[in-house]
Amino acid sequence: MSNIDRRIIDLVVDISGEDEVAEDLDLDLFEEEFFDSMAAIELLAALEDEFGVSIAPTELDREEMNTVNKIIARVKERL
Amino acid sequence: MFGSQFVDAVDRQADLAPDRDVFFNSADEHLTYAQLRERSNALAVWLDDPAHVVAGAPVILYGHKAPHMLVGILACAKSGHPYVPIDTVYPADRVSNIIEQVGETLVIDTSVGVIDWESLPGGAPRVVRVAELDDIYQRPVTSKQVADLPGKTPDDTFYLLFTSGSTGAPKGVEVSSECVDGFLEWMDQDYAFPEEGPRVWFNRAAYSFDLSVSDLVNGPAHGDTCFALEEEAEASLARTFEALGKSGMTDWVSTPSFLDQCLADASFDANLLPRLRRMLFVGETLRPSTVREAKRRFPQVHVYNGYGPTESTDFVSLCEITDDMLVDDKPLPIGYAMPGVKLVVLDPQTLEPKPTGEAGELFIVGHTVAKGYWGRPDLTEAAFRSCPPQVAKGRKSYRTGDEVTLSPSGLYYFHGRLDLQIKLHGYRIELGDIESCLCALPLVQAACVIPVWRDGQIHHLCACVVAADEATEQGLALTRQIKAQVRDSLPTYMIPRSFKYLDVMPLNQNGKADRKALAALIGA
Repeated sequence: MSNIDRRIIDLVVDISGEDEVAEDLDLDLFEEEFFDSMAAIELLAALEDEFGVSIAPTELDREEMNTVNKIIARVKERL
Repeated sequence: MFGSQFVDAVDRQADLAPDRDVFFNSADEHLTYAQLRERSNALAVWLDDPAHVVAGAPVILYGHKAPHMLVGILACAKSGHPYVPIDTVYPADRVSNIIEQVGETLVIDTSVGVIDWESLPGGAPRVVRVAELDDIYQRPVTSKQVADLPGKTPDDTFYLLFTSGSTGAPKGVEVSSECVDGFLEWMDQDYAFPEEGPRVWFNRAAYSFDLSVSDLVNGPAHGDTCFALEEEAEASLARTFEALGKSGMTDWVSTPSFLDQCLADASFDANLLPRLRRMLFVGETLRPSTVREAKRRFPQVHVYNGYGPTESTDFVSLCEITDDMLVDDKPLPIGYAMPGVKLVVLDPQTLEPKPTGEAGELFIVGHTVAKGYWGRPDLTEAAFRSCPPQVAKGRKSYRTGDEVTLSPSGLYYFHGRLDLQIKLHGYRIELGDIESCLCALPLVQAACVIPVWRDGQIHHLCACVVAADEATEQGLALTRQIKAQVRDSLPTYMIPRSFKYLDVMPLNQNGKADRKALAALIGA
């Protein structure tokens, strides 16, 4: 697991407040109520602070960032 | 004519501006004032027939943001039925519980088959669906039939709004016609801008939340237009903005949380909403940083903050947030008391008045206080009859459970709750409601829900759970099982985001779950 992966997982754990989300990186964070729309916006702000990756909330649909693995992929695309 | 100033004012608009939209939504469904009057008259005459529903029985309006909902509200008022709004966000078990509590009733379902009424745990109610509504609207009604409709007396219940209850079942707040008219009179004085012409109000909140009363009463009574987002437009911020951009909105009404979400995107500014003149916030703490950013994006907009519980008709205090209130990060005021209503700060233990500048529990005394909780004399007694007689002086009163301060200038400031009720993203939640649902599961032996705070507001809820012997899974797998099982009884916004499993529940001296110890344990 790369350093970037680890940092993104930590962000998702922090925002969801749930350590266990790190156990399954394909877990649908919205379906399983670990994330809501406020959390998604918090994550985008955190990604900008942490990686300088700017993703506007209007830019992506929820389905494009609903798992940790998809979030990692979106960040790597833009680094 | 119908005994309700609100209903009569809306009907008058059908003569003044028959073709103007009273309502439209992002799905391009429109309702004009003339259509609203005709359809609500036809539906009211139908509802007035005891073969369809017992006279005076509450009528459940189930659905989200459709023209049928507004027609249903007016028709219920004209035919002497309280309406009970239930949004599609409520899961089946909760809907079933509300129907059981209401008792004798009829359901008007304006949704597209969201709920399977036949399989509700409490049995199938009588349901009128959209196709039948459309037939009813076509029925010819005579002016005599309309004139003979019962309408409302001031003390008749106008709506019954179910809110989270501390023991696992929602409780119904009974708001009278006098309350609605009293609220409208105040808005006529302090929140009317007739020189601007017809306004377009953001009808954002679901009808099952009393925040929606702000725009739903004000807009139609003044010949304005209400604009709402249908589910499709709420699915992503991009679609929300696309719909907002076409709305022509002048008056924003929402919780601060929803504005925060919109402000997270740089494209949310005066170019998107060029006609916007005012933003009104009720429902949770408004932060100075939110207002500063809103004013930066919308320099032409006046920002207002209001406060009030469902038990006193939407809100009871209001003020404009001026620049001088924003110079530092001090908490913002929740407003001045509405005329005719007394906001009294008492010591929560002794019920002695607190001096100006000292924090105490807020009691509301006056004509916009609700009648009580439907079918719950015990809860009504505790909340609506506990104000000292020398303070209430024979008027209706409500004990809020909110800690506030009155400043020398007459502005009130909110500090927090004195009990286990919370606001999460504007949703009013009793922690006991969630805990009861969790403890009812065979997987759970004991549960305590702790709010986790960040940046001065509740960030999410964490459930501290002792698993029962029946639980074969642990960790994430158990959390997923528990969440799946509460989905039928709790709306999504009430499901705790994170779970912490304990071997034993820490107890305080009274033998109850020790919330302070749990908060420390999870770092809340």
